[in-house]
Amino acid sequence: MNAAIEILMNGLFLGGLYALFGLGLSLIFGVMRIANIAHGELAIAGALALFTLSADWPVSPLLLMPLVCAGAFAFGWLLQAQLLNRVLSPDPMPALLVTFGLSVVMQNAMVGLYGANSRSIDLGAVKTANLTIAGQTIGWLPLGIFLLSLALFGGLHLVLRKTRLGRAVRATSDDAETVALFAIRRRRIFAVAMAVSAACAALAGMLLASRSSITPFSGAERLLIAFEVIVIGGLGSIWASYLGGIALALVHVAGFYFDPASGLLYGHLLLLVFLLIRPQGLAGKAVTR
Amino acid sequence: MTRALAVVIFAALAAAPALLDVGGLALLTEMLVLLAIAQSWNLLAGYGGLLSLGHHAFVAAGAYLLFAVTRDLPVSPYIMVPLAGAGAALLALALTPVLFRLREVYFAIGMWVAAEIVKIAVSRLDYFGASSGLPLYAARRIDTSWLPASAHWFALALAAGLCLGLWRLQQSPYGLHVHAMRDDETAARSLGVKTRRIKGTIFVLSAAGCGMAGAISFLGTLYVSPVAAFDINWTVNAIFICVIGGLGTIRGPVLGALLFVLLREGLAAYPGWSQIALGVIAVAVMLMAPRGLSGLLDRLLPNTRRAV
Repeated sequence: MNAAIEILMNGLFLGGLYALFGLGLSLIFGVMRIANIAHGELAIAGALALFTLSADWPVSPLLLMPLVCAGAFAFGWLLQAQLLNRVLSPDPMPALLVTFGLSVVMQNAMVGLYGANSRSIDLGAVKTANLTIAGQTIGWLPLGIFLLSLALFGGLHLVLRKTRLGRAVRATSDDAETVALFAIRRRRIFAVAMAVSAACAALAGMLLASRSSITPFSGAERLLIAFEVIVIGGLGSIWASYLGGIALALVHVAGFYFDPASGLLYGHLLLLVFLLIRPQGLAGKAVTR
Repeated sequence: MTRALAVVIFAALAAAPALLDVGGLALLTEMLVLLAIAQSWNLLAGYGGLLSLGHHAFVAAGAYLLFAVTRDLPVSPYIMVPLAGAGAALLALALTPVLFRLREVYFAIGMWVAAEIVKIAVSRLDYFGASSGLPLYAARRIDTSWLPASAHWFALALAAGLCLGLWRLQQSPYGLHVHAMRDDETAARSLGVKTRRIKGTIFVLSAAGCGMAGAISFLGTLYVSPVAAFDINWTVNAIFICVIGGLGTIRGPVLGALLFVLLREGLAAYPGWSQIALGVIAVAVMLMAPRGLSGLLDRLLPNTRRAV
């Protein structure tokens, strides 16, 4: 019984972080119909940038996270405006290959700069602090990350629903050709989407490195997790990604509990099950079109 | 002219075991294996328009099949090379019901996930030696002094066969169907092109090419392990070779494989840098010259035939 509660709770908390990995990917896929193969590398680069910054500045890494996110935002903007906007076409292959090349370059550069060792961000007392509710010990860090991801999803939801920019993003996602007729600059919307996506990825990477640890090679598995989150959740709304994140995390946590050597296996199998039985995901439009 | 050149190159490569030292021959064999994997990937992506990020699964499938079957049955490892290709083709066939529900980006990453599943399964099964892998038990039954030369000839036959096969495809009516499908699937289907069957066929053939290449490559090393066989760099390198050389052409990957090996050997003293250089070149090619080295060659030598 206790084990079940523990799995549920850990799955829920980890799910918030997974959802954050999925969010960035789902945003750009929704708006541009392309995927960023370097999504995982962006996340890891964010975490490694935080290492470098906190080595130089004697403040809590938590305070430096917004700075790294701002840097990732700028990087994402430049990536879209300078590289990816040049290969836009109905054929998704050029954009896919450009981001693929970028992911290989980033990974090797990170191995060269930081070495292959695994690292973890030291948040000091926050890392070990916990509280006890009804006999269950809950770490403040996983709980905090979960609440933060919830708040970010809520914030993004409001931006997409209530603001002019959000309307333009949703309209571009529905029909980019028609949007151009309304004097909305499609390429600018794409740059905004990629910038937000990169900032989300960097934040997710930093939070991951605070919760557990990363190596410069961790990017690939993060991309696969983000991809599984959006397929299992389904496209169409950002909350679908949230649901997908929690479902995937529950399967990973349960899999790890019963079969510690399984790694990401059961998450991958869950993806296959969804593709076969429910390709539109838990809550979304069909992805196969 | 082109044909005569191809015959001369083939003859020179076939004579390589007599001309080169051990290291040079190993490098040449590796280049041919890389070319074979790249042409297999090219068949699917350049000709069929389907980008896969999981072709290392087929390389590994071919290698493991060779090692496991020759351990249990008294077959020669050489006979197993083509059969390993057939085994990889069967794996591809088994994956189609799931993967062919996916398109574009989803197919690309879905294929990667499939490769991960096969990798985890193989590294947990004792039949395949689990995470430590398998030695080539059948090495006792063959004269290993001939192994480098025969692996080279196998690699040459496979790479040349794939190039020839792509050339035949370009000349045939079937090739036109494939081309039409890549350019506009819906329009092709409305004209009676059986796109689903074509996709399935080239997917399976592409897997077979990778499977044979994997069997040949690990035949030479006498040992197979999950880390080496399921190394995603098999796929990464194939993509770089095709993109830099020119997707959807035959000579493109040939030029790409040559550049790949030159870069890697030239930068051997700086680990990681050849991958960075290849990535930067590939991105630059996609942005500035999407037809790759093959397209540049067309511009330099306007008289050569476009078909090759």
